[in-house]
Amino acid sequence: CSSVDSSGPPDLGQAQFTLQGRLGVRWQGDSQQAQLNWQHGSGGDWMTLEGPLGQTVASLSRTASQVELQTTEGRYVASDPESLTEKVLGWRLPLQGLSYWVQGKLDPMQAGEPERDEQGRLQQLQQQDWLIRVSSYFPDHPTAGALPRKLSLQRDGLELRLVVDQWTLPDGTTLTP
Amino acid sequence: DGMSQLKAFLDGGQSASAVFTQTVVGKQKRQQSSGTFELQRPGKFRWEYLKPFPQLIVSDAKKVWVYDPDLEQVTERNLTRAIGDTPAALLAGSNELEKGFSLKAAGSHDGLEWVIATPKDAESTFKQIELGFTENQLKRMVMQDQFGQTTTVDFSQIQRNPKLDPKRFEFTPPKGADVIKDKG
Repeated sequence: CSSVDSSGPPDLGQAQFTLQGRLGVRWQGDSQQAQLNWQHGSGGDWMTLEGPLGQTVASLSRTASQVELQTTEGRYVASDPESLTEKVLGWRLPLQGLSYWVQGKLDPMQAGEPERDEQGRLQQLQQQDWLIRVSSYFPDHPTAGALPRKLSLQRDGLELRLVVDQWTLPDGTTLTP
Repeated sequence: DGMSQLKAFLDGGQSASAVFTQTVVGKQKRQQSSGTFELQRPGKFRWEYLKPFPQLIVSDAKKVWVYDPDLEQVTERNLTRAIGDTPAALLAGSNELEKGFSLKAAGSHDGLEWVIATPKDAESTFKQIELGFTENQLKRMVMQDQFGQTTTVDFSQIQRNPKLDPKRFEFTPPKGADVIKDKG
């Protein structure tokens, strides 16, 4: 059987955050839900998607030079995550932008006019053809500040919803609801 | 041995209920969850996570719904399509286990008699499922995925043939959660 060479994460450079949460995907009348584990570093990303029983469905590894997606069907490589996930999973994962939006920040490489709530936290933003809405935040944290708990991303007929169940930060801080 | 206990378990009762704890151990993670499990043969089951967050998997023997209140999302799939990914479906099935898996006895350890179920479909998300029995009752499932991650489910407070309300195996989407039917 296709045993997967689960090589594990690449060198991610300087750790920036790790999150555990859930991802809901809806497009063209199809729907998927998965548990999400995501390690983000200055030099790359390591992400796994799992079913409710912890069965890994896919792993995605990004380094400066390439992106690799491993599923039970095979291994796929491309230069950017969006085209790779669209080709293999059927929906686009804007990993670059999401690594900022998930922290309630703007992607500095893109233009965009944020709408903020009365505490100055990002509420809505249009960047890279994505409409990003942050619907709830974790309580403000002395060092981590305001980190999102629930956000949604919409682009054409695709909607990605993300619920963060746990943030882990380089200084060891962990936030859970 | 394990095989005779598996057969007795599958043929033994029309219904069962239990509490479960689930531990997922992978390279970078260890995650615990718990909830309740009910089944009504053939084909109906309710696998409800309560901790650390609510998530419901229900089968009425035709369809399987996965409902996540935080995501406000319901995914509906035909039971036949979901079989490989939801071991609960195997336990509630009449012969799904034999159809989709090759089964072999695997001796006894940890005080249980074991059967190893290997999916016939090489691209199933699970590489192998071990079922541990005692007194014709399933006590533990150990599931290996294709990425080296292991999920262990332990059952307790097991009741044989309880009277279960049929509504437990029906699912009506709550207001606001949009249901997306599976094209498959």
